[in-house]
Amino acid sequence: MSSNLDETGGQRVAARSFDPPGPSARERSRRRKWIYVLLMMALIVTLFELSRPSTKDTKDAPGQAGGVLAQYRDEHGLSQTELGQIDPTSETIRLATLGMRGFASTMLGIKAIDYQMKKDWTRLRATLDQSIKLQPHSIHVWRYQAWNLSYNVSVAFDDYHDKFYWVIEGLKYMLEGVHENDKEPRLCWDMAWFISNKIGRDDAAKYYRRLFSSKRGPDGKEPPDYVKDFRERFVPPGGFPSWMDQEKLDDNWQVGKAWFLAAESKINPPRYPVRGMATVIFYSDAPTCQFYYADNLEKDGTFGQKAEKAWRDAENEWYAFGERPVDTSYEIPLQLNRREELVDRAEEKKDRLDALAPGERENLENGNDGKGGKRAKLELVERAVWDKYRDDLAKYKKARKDRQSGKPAAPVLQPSLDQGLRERAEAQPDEIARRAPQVHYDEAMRLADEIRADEQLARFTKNERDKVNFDFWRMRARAEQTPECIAARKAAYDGDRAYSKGDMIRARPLYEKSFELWRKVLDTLEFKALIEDVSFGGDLVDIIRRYERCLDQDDRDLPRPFILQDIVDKWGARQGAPLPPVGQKKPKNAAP
Amino acid sequence: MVVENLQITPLMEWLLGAGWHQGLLWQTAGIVVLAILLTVGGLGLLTILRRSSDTPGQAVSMWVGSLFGVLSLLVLAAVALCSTAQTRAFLTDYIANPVFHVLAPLLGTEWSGGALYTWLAVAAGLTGIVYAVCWNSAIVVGGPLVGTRQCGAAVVGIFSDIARISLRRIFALAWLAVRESIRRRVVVVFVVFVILILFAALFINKDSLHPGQLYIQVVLNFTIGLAMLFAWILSALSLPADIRDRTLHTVVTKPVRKLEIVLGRVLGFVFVGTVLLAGIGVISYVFTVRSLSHTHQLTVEKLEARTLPGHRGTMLRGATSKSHAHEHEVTIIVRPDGSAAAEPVGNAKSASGGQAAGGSGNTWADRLDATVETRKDHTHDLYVSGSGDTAVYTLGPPVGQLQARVPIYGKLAFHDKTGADKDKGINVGDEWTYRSFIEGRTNAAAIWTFSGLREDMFPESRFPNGIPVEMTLEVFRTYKGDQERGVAGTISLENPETSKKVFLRNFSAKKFATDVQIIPRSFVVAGSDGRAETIDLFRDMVSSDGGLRIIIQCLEPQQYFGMAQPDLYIRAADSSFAWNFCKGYLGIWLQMALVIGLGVMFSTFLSGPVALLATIFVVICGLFSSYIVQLAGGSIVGGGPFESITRIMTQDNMTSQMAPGMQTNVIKAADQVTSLMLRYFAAVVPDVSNNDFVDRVACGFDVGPDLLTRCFLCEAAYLLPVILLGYICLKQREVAQ
Repeated sequence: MSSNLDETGGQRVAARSFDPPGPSARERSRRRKWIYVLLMMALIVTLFELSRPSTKDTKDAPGQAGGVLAQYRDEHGLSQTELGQIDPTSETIRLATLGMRGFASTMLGIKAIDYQMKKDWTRLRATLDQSIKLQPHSIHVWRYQAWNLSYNVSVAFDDYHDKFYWVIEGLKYMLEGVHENDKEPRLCWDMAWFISNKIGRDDAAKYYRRLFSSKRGPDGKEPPDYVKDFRERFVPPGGFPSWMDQEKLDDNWQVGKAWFLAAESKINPPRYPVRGMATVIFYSDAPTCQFYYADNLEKDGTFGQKAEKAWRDAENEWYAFGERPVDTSYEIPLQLNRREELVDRAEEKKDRLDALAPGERENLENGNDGKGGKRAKLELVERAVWDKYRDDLAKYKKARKDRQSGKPAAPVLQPSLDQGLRERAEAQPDEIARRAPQVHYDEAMRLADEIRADEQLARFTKNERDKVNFDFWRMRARAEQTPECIAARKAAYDGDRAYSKGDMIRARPLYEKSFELWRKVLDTLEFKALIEDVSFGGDLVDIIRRYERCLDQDDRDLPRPFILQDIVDKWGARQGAPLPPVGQKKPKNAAP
Repeated sequence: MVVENLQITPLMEWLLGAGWHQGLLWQTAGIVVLAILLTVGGLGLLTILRRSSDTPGQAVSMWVGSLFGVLSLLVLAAVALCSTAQTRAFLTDYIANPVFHVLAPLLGTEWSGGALYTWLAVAAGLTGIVYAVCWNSAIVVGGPLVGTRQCGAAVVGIFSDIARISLRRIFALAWLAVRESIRRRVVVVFVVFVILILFAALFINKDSLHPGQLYIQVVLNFTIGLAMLFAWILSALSLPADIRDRTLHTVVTKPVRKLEIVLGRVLGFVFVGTVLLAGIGVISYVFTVRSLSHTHQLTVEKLEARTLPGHRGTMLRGATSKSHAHEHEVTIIVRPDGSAAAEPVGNAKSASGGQAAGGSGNTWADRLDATVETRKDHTHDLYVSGSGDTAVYTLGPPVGQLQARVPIYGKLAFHDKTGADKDKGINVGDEWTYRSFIEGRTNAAAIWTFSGLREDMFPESRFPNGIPVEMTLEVFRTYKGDQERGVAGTISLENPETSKKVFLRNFSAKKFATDVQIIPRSFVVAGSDGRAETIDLFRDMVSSDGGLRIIIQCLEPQQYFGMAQPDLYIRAADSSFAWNFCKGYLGIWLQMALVIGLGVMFSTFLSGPVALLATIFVVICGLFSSYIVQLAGGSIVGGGPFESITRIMTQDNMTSQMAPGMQTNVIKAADQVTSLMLRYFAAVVPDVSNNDFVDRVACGFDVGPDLLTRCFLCEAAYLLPVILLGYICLKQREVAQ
């Protein structure tokens, strides 16, 4: 008989297994591990598909698009390599900030402001270098600081050599930005603007242009080494165009033009559209450089065929610019050259509309049907303007017809009229079309729509033209090519040289010759409107003032009427000019 | 180059106030008496304290407690009186001024401006405030008698501890701290610095106009960053780690005083930091000197020859080879055979060394007057061997790039355009008002008055041409004028004693560049009678007490010159650049020592991370102390903390007026209280950047002994109370007691 007590007298306990029912712990652990491994495999495959990098084509194998994320990055241009080069130093410094890149950038920005205030230029420059390493793809930082160096820091100096050094420092800073962000057009544009306008139109432009070139100065010294160093690196992305010879490489306007063209080549909407300015202005900068190049050629004393060719090139480039379709805020691309064509087309259609509804124009405008015309409601002055416009338009149409049929035609410019007056004085196309006989009604209405569209496009084109002063530059390019104009400029240049040496006796007849030639130019119908431009008129007034001082030597006044009296009347009393209006004696103690 | 905040006040004047030399105590007899009193009294006190028991008697505790209690009440009363303008005026008129007048014969006429007395007053004030807080707490807990006795006993205990410290134990604990630092691989700092230096070239723009300044600033700023980091982490984490790991218990259970523990830690870490800084300093110096060291080549083919008219010889001009992103233009005038210059001109040397010009004129080198253009703050000596077309020209190492000028500064005063005396010139609208301006073609002038000049300070052997004066003027043009030349000015000299004034010369101002003008020892001027007069500088123009006035005026109408006091100085001598570089590192050492002291102090009563934060908080507040003072003074737009919080929450801008009412009154009152606290806090926190000599070393100015001594004294003035505070906190803490 079994006992509940064991040999020691203790309570006997039935042996029990401590393993719970079902799989053992070891088996459960093994199972879990297998599940984990399978999950990991599934995740790895998924991750691989998501984040597989793209590869480039090699000679052994074609490139691959990569995983989902890589394709997405490529499609939307989001990868860092899309922005430009990746600088290992910059990446290292950014990592070293341990996530406080924004704070570090802000502190460096504050320091830079402090150093600039205290005119500690060395530290300012060093701080800007450090700051940009933290944010190499921040376009606005590159733009602002390069502009700050070239425009603000440079003017803090007294000696123009020092000023130019800092202009070049700003350019070098911007150059680094271009290399770091080689797809960004704004940096190229800024580079072009600094080279062209800062160097070419600053108060010290005379010195800057000379220092910029590779020529020796009047003291026989070579250009400073920082300029030589910059010139070794100032090649725009894609290189200089083939038409850039050594002479053009020495001219800041030509180099600026090359950079403007480089900026144009980087426009790639939607990622890289034209930003910050109207498209028409953006594309006008390159040909405008050619104008200033030609202008400065003559200011530097180069005339004759070279100057003529420069202006001719300017006209051709301006024409090519006018042929380019430009995007506008009207959501219609248009071409600046087409305005006259559009106006002519609209007038032809108006003639056809008048043929469909004969006499209705006169009824509406002049009230021939006894119902009172639009003309009657105009002011007397407006009526005179309107009548003159109609006369000029008639002459223009006749001259155009004669030219088209091969007959000799008088030189007549396409007349223009204020849009407000036109709406009040002219019979509108739809008004005429509604009065057309029933049989011609549909065609008349269609013509009216087309006339309205053409006139609207012509107006938009005029607006876009006004943004870039298209008409003036075209007219000037044509005028400056003429032998009279080139001779006028040469005479004025020679007169200025004699004047600067104090030889008033020699300067006076040269000025007089210049004025006679200018008179001939301005009397040409095609170039009459040149007188309306403030800078053109201002330049002539400056020459007239110097001529006046030559006359002062003999105690003579400016003759009245002066050969350029229209220029004197319009621009002789400019506000802010330090001297009294042309024709009046200057005070004895006025500054030279 | 601007180096703001140049300390021009002499050391003793700063320490003891202007007119200190008139105080009886600072005469020879007074100093002797003071020394005897301090020595005898100090030794006596030390003896008494060392011989007395650790636990002071009740009577002594009561007396000491009461005395300190009365002093703390006086301090609290003074603080309270300083809180409003009216009570401050009362305190000044009826208490402060009489005390100042009574002590003036003893300490000097303006002793109240002395840093020593200010420190004593602040130390006494802080001690009084701390004692008052502790005393009140003790009274609340145990009653007035017990509280006073306990506080008195604590004070006596502190003095007793101080008297009983053992240098041997301190050094032993310091050595322990050193070993602990090594165990924590503090040498990593050294490795990090070496790596940073290897990549330093990436941070340095080789095209800089001032590469010497740039290199020095980079290496010193790297060092400061590393040293601060090292000091901060090591000092703040050490004690808390020991307390957590209970390793401190083995120390505390020995007969070691808490003050010795704190002192030992500080000294140990400072020692480790010193060794690291020494190593880093050597590497930095070698790196800087080697990086800047360069030379250029000059070949005969690069020289263009031009014959000078009047049989004056031939001029050779050309450019050296390019090195370190620059080249130099060299102009060599070869005088006709047999002639020699009356004075050595230029820096042509013969290949065997020694100045060539001024010789017999027989050798080729003797006939050369060479000038190597200064670029990027330096020039080179030109060495010649051979002659004629086969001469070989070599340029030596750079000269003038790494220097340590010892300037003699004068005091600047102005005349306005009518000639009346003025403290400042005109403000031309510059945002930074460091410089003020004088108008051209008027009586306006800037006058520097120097004193203490002696002829033996400018020996002829070192200053053969005369006394060098360096100036950095700013130019403000109201119209462009002739852009091909600088704005003209004049330099004149005046004897302040005899008022004799002579015109020296005209000059063309160079903006943002140091213009060196030499004042000859003897020169000829047109006298008042039209006859030529020879002027001896030291005999005629320097007064008997060494005074000299240098007057700068602008010649061109409607143009302005701008200047500040340090912009013109006499360059008496040059100190060694290497030694000046060391002094730059001394400044870093001072900053590091201060951070170590603060870190150890905070770690005595805070945990590691909190001590880290507290240390960095105090350091940052010190760096921004001037801003905090402006904030406390109400000159910052947007108000104090409570007003700012209100504006943030209500999305209000900083400049609009707050709506009048009870809420605004409460906010402004609370801000006034915080402003008071901020003002006192800003006055107490140390500004580590005061010991920053980077600018001076980089710009080539010597760190003078006055400045160095002043910084050391300020450091000691901060470290002493910081260490005491650390000791008191550790003493109160129960660590294995």
